[in-house]
Amino acid sequence: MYHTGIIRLITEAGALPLYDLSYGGFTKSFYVPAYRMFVASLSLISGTDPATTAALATIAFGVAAAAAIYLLGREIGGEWVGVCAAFLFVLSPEITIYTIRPFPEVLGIPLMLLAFYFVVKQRLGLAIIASVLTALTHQTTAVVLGAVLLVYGLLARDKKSFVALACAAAAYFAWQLVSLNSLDILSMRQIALKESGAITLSHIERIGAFALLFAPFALPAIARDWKKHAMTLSFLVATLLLAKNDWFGIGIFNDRLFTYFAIAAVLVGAIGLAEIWKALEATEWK
Amino acid sequence: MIAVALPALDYHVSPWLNPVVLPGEVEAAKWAHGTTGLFLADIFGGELVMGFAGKPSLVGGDWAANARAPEQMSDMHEFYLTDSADKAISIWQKYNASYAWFPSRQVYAGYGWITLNEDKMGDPRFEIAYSNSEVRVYKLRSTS
Repeated sequence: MYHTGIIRLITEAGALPLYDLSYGGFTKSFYVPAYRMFVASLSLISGTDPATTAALATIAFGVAAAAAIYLLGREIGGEWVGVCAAFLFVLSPEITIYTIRPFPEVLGIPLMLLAFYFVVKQRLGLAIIASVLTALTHQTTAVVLGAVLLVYGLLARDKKSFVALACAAAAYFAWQLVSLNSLDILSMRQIALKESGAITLSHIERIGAFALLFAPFALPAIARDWKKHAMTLSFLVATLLLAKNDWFGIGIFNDRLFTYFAIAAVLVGAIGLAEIWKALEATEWK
Repeated sequence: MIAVALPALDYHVSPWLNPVVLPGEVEAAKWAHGTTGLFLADIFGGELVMGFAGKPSLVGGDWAANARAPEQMSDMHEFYLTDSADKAISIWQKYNASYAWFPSRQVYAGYGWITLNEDKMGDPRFEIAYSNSEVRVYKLRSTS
């Protein structure tokens, strides 16, 4: 609800407030602005209360996220992978938990998935736009975006991935410089004090039973043509390392970053489910 | 697949659908839109005030840029727990607050769920600014 508060102030004042509402309102507003500005614009255009607009926008962004993973899955493995990815996406408890509340992550996720889609399609301009918008929508999603693009750029030797990453990073740090007069991320309290929640068995279950069940069936397909599945592998590896950053003595935002690992796992599960379908089609036993 | 997945979805997601705040608090938050100043509230009440009224709360929201966030959570926790009106007023004045939020539920200010102690708000230095069946909002009584 606190993001809705800022959205309300934007609609009332016509500008982003200089100071935040959080924890007394004593600090300058530094949160990346795209989600708030966009929802505020929708509120003003429609004449709807910001709280109602934010709630309705959450539904729209959630649908967009399912559509975005369909596009990414289709680009990676064909129509069936796209359909299976969208299907497993909407059945995932972890993803559902983080796409039913009015906060920036619910817009960040579809933007991030679109960035990956455009990178795989080698559409650099659109990849840059999606990456920059992701960076200006949600900081945590931007970290995931950056990590995945880095791994993908190395794995697939794709320089365009690095260009998109650099543009996203530049956009984020430009915003931080403007809002906080500082490029220092490490002094942020949540990072300095290591805000995090442990990843438990319950988290694994929250990925979704069927994504977990079908994921192993994806292994032969990935092993046969790992270059084709470079984005999937990059997504999986990067998000696993981020979610379990305590392995490296970091221990920050583990539970938040786990959501993105769940999305990657859904993609892998979709590839596995599609492989089963193809095998059944090949035997003419449907 | 759906017959298996949907109950699992319901099991895991349902706790997150609990709004925590009471319907009466939503009405109070709408009333708060016409106020000015800082609210002393728990994280859930505070974010409700932010969302519906656009007013700051001592705790709640994003604490990334506030070095004093743990201290504020501790003070808010103490504000709700203490039975001393003097202690409550010292915390109130420390932050130059305008209102205090007392809902008819347990509260969470950052250090665990607690049952708030509202007896101290009967002190004559406090008065009720707004109330309904589910929440009372206090202010300091004007001495002028």
